[in-house]
Amino acid sequence: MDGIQRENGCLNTFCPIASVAWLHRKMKDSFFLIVGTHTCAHFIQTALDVMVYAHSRFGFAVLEESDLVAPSMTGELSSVIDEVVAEWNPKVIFVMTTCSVDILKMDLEVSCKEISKKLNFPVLLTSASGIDGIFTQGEDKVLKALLPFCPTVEEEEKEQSEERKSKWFFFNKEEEKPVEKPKVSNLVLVGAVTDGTAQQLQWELKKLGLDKVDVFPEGDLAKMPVINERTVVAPLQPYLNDTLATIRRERGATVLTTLFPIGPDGTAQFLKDICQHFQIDASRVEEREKQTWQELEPQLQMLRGKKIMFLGDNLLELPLARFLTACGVEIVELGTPYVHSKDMKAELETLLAKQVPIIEGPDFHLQLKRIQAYKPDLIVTGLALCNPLEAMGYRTAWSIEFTFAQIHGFVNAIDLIKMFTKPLRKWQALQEHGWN
Amino acid sequence: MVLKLAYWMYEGTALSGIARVTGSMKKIHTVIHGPQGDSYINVMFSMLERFHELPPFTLSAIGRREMAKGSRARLVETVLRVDEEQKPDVIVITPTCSSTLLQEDLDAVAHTLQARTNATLIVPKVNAFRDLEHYAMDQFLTQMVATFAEEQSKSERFSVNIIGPSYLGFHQIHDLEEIKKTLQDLGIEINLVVPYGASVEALRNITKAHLNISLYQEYGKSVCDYLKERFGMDYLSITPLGIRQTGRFLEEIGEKAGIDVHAYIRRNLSPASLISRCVNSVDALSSLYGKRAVVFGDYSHAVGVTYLLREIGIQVEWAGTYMKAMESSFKQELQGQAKEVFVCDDFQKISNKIKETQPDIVFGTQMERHSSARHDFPCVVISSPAHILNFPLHASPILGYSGITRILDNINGTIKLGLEEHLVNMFGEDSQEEEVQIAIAEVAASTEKKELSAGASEEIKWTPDALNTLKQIPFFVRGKVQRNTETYAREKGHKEITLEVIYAAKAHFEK
Ligand code: SF4
Repeated sequence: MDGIQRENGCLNTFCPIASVAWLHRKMKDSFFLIVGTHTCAHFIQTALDVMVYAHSRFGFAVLEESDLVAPSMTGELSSVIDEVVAEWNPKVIFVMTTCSVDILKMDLEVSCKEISKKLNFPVLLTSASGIDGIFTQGEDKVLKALLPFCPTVEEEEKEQSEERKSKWFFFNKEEEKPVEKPKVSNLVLVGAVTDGTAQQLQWELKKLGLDKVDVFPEGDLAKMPVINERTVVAPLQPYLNDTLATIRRERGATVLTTLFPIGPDGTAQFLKDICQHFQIDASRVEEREKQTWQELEPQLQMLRGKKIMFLGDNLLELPLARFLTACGVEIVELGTPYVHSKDMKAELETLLAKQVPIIEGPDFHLQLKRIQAYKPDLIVTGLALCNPLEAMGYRTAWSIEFTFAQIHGFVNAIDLIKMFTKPLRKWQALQEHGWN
Repeated sequence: MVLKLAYWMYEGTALSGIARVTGSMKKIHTVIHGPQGDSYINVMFSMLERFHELPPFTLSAIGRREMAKGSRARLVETVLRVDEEQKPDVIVITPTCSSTLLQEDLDAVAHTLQARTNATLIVPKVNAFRDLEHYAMDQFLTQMVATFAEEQSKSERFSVNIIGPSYLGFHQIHDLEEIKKTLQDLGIEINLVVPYGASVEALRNITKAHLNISLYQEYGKSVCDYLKERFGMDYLSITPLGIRQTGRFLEEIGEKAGIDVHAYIRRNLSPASLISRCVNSVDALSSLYGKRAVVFGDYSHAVGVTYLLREIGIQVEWAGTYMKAMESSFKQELQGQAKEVFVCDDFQKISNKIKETQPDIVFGTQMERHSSARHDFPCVVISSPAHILNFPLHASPILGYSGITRILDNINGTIKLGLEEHLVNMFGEDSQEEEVQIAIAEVAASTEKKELSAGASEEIKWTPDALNTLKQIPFFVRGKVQRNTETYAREKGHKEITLEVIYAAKAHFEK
């Protein structure tokens, strides 16, 4: 898409395995097994400060040099998984592969299937290699692996295919007989958000007249929503490109092109587009949006006219920047690791209409120079850079906080905006006490 | 390749070891040749050490394109740019676990690139896939020193090099301050600290010192061996942790420097000193003496703390280290100091062992702190792996005499206080905690009334004397004492609780 510059960088971000931090909490009775090197383990335990979860439902199958090349990895992987099962008794195991598996061209697909069969519960292979993606994209890979658990037919229609449940691991779509299409289509919100966030969005939609709104993924494998060619999918997170592409391709579902429900403006557009699709009245939305903006007013006063720069980290940059422009903020630079022009179409149109300079894969060293030129009031960036930038005299917001916090919908808008105003307030407060 | 299940790594990667060396030194920039996530080193420095400058690490990323077309172009570009923009004295080009698997020849890249950079290019001679943090530090420190050290005439006054302190170590920067102060008190000059704060220029002058002091046993000794062999420099490798080891450390330095250190030692251990007043206090008799502890950590801290605990009268049930490569010397060193001495790097085994041992107090890493919390044992953290809490702002050395005072403070702040515990143990059973934890004010007011009247009005009567004695017992264990005594009385068929019955009950529960 025009209007986007490209640079060769954005290296101060994490790799996809970091997504275990929230995914292992989202998926009930799961275990995440990361197949990788010592670096992967060290990274997770130090950089993410996952020490708070010292004993939890993820672990590492660390590759160790031996006389090299085990004839098949199945035996190796199987015995590690046996240990995991003995300790945790999970209902699903996600085997996340990493760079080393990629480099060694190890294929664990068959192994996972065999182990799965042996244990009689799903052992799902997901690639989380840092060679390909950045940390939030780990969620994309996991959701994609969960798609086969979304039935293609409604509960009532599938009496005849009850056995399917016990045969989930074959993933064989041909087993499902074509069923007569009912008239109604279902709406599925896609993204690993907290139950609270999902409930809020469901509540908003219910008020608009949509009673049955599903969410993918559910924490429980047995409760995944139906996704078929009648399904309308509304993405909640901007980094689920693989999952969405697979939904389009394999399920023939309609994926809405709309803004992400982040910020009152995005949430309103999101709801309106859904309403339009389902041909229901959306007039209430504007009222909600207006009311939410009013609630934000004290914070908005602080943000209007401020210059904010995104260095690029977690792929939430586009919706966040779009929300900020609606707040009257000047986005001096919107750096983001990667721009998916199809899935981000609505966001991009809004941003480019406002001439927001977007840089894909920004180069930090060039950014450093631009920071000096732009003198932004706030820089949104990753953990590695915040403290040094603060010491240089800039205010920073940790981008990772936006990944961990609940920022979707009208109700959370106040928390979202405070994540931008808090560093500014802190700065003000400290200055009043002699810091400058 | 084989796979091994791990929930936790006690030791960091070779990459993190190299980064601790380069990141601690001055005007050295490190180019990390690896995939995206391997730039986490920056986060460790920025978050744990609260770096106010950009950490001196730049990633030369290996992405899809590099996998397909080779990573050399990106690496060359990155190195040249770092050279131009950062103007470092040295650029260290390091592989990571994954990039090692690509089997690229980084030496060759560095060799051809050298003609185009002002900085000296160095590729660590380690196997980033196989080697661990401390071994990599040991090897790489030696490589750095060997690259730059030159023959120099000795400094006029007796001076030493301190080898060991580095960023991301366990309280190492605090240790350094303590050692500096000690040496200053003794009138001994410091020529150089390696790696913390050392520049290439300073490394050239490392041979000016009369003595090398290696503070930690995990790494640093190879540097000393190298300097001894190549330049005939004398060295000393003792971790001054605990009373005896600190004494030995000082004495040996004194001997080499021709200084009498005994006055200094006496001053720190005399009856008037804080250490001695604490260890010899009557309070320590109940709070420390005979307590059962377990110790786990890296080599230096596990050994040192075991010594220290013995020196203050605590019993060490077992001592373990995760430094597998140092197994035999660990066992030899601590033989007879603890009932069991072992090496293990499986944190769950350690966790289970703690649970089985039921110690009064645990000394371990952040992992053991977690395990202890789960099983409700008090724990003092004495070794890496560390947490942001182990990067305190106030002076908190582990080494030297100040280190001893700090550990004693930590123990006192963690373990149950003498009298309190005495009473709980005497009369209580295993779940003593509840009583202690109940909000004090509320309980103080209500327990007395309720329990005493209840106790006095039920089938078993308390004589006035006995009741008086009961009242004198601190409220937080009083309920338990009362119940135990009554149970005992009932069992023995007493209708009335007299002083004799209390004493007999006490004897009964104490045995
Ligand atoms: S970038 Fe690759 S090797 Fe490095 S931590 Fe991430 S997955 Fe592991």
